[in-house]
Amino acid sequence: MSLRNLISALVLGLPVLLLLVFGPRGRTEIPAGRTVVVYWEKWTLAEGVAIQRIVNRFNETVGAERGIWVDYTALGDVDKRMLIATAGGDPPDVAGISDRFFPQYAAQSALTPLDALVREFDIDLSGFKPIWLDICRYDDTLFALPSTPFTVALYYNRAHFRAAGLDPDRPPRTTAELNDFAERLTRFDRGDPGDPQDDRIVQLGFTASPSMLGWWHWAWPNFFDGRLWDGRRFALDTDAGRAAYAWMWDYRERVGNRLVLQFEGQQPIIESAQNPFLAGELSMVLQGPWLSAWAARYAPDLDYAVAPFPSVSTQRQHVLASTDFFVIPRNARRPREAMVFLKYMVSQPVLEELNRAHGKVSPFRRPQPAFYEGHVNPFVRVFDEMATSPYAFGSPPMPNWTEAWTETLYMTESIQRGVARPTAALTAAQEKIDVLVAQQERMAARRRTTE
Amino acid sequence: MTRSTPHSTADTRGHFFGRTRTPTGQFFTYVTLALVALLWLLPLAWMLGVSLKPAEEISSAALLPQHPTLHAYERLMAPASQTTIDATGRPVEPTPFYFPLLARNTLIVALLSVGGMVLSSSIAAYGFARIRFPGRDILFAICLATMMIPFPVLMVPQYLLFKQLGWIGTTIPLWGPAWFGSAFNVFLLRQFFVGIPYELEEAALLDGCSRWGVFWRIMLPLARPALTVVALLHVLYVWNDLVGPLIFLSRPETYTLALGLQFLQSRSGDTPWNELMAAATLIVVPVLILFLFAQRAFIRGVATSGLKG
Repeated sequence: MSLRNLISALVLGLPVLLLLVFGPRGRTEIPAGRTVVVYWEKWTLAEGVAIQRIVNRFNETVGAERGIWVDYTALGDVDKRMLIATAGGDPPDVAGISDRFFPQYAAQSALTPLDALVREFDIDLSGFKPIWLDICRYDDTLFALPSTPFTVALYYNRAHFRAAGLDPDRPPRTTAELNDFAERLTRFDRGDPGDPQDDRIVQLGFTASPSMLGWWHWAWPNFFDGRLWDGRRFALDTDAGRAAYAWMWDYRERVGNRLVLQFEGQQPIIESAQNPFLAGELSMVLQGPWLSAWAARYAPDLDYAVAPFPSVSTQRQHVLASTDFFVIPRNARRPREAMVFLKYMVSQPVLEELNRAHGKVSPFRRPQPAFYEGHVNPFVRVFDEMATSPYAFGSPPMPNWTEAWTETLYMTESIQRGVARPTAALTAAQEKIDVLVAQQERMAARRRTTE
Repeated sequence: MTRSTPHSTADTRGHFFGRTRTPTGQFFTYVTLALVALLWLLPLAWMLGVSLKPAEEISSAALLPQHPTLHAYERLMAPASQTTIDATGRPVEPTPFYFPLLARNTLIVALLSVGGMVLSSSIAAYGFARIRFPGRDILFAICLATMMIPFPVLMVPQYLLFKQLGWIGTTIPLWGPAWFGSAFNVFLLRQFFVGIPYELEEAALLDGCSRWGVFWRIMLPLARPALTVVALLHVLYVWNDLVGPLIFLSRPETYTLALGLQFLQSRSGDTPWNELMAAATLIVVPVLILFLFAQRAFIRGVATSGLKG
């Protein structure tokens, strides 16, 4: 063996051998005599530690009494993983999924209906704010329980308001006002006076671009009194839809769409100091409670406030609400033991402890005073109260929501890029989604026939 | 057989894009190449720089840390159950990325997978290259056609199969199938075997060597460059594979490095970027070392197996 080969073998082989022989071996210790409830979730890091702490407490108290051991596992892409495992006949007993996939899974019979189990286990749901339970229903059947809910609100930079001559304690209250404020807040750098190509935006008032924190690209018609799903049809090309996207188009035209696109083209890392709102480049943004956590971390001196996102009229306060869910997949092996665990999880002290740790809102009508004390989000009460609005809405509970979500994203982007005018884009998207809905209905009818 | 003379070597070396190199030209060539190399290295340098930053400096855009620390690496070396202490003396929650455990799992999967892949693919490739039997070419075409089937199509059937075998939740689905070869590697090795002169094989058979003996004693040693390519490409595939572990693993004690990396990304804004970059560095380094030692064999294998296109 040449010296080179010997060195190669030593450098590569020795660490490998040592790691294989003496390396750590993981193991889970489960007390004897316990029924194991397998619980899959998506949370890791601080969020994972918070849920693990609660699970450990369950295992030491209620679990010990009832002979149940909850085995919490954090998995990546838990939504899809759960669907594959359910289709493969080996689902977990409890899973935490997001609202994007919920209606599809409920429609595909991948979830266990919970109404009867909730009654059997005497779980009192009357304390929840109605919106959170509404979101957990599909086709009038309860398929989930809320875990970590949140609403989204308007964050605005108070310093920018002051500089633009606006009252920092008076956020916009209507969508028309929002456009007006946004225009006044937008600042330009006029480079070469003779060359308009040299202009650029240094501070943008507002943007609904999905790449710039406007993540809920489908939600805009809702703020114009529209609702996208009526139980049979995805109603995008409506008065509300046309008004919403005309509002978006008009603002961009007034500011200058080329410059807005140039500004949006920065593609910043959102969870960093480059976040345009935290960096003081974007004055107003529609976001969830986590933006406060990012602000505390990356821009602690930022002077900002939070208010309900404006609707077309002050008479109807539309609020975008969303939640993660606890579900029991179809054909879970231990649904009753899973319900014992879920009953513990959705009790007010436990669920509020989880949501406080996750920086989210309380799903209950009357949050305990302790919930707000020491909450990481200084504006948690604003987010919380918004969920009581009778005009709160979640994502459309339609079976092929993931496909409609994608189509509306393409449509929104084509309008924002100036590729299509709102009316034409809406008509085209509506036609495509109608086809998807019709296909889904045919498949559902076939499934009903075979069942 | 032709041999290159010192003169012809000098000629070849003395030309670059058909022109004779002058010292100035040489200088500019190296400067340009160095700049391009630096450009390619920039993401790696950024990754390394962030991994050495303390938590307070993470949001700074500077490439290099002002106060470099190995704290992120220390955290990744601490078991997931162990709380660590940060630079200010504050206890910090354990990280879900315990490098020694994940590296060990990944190594086990990689070694078992590569062993199986090299052995099974070379046996199949030898059969397709050298043994005449009815339907051989049709079988080979079917084998190649399996490359066209996207993995999502196979996901649920595979899951059902592995569930029946009791493999779900273990690492076996990640290396077990490798023992049945892969179409791409079979194709690669077959092309190499086809290029080996028949006379070598015939001489061995005339001397009384069995088919297996010919394969094991003659063909495999000759195919070492191609086998190295197959092994290296497969190690890289296994090392970076996220989808397989994501679907088939459900216990943290069996997770692999690529899967573990995902757990350092928070959903609500607490991503420890220095730990994420430290983990990425730890994942990349073994691959770089491996390539450093095997690059000569790898390049020779690529050149002789027709992989370079």
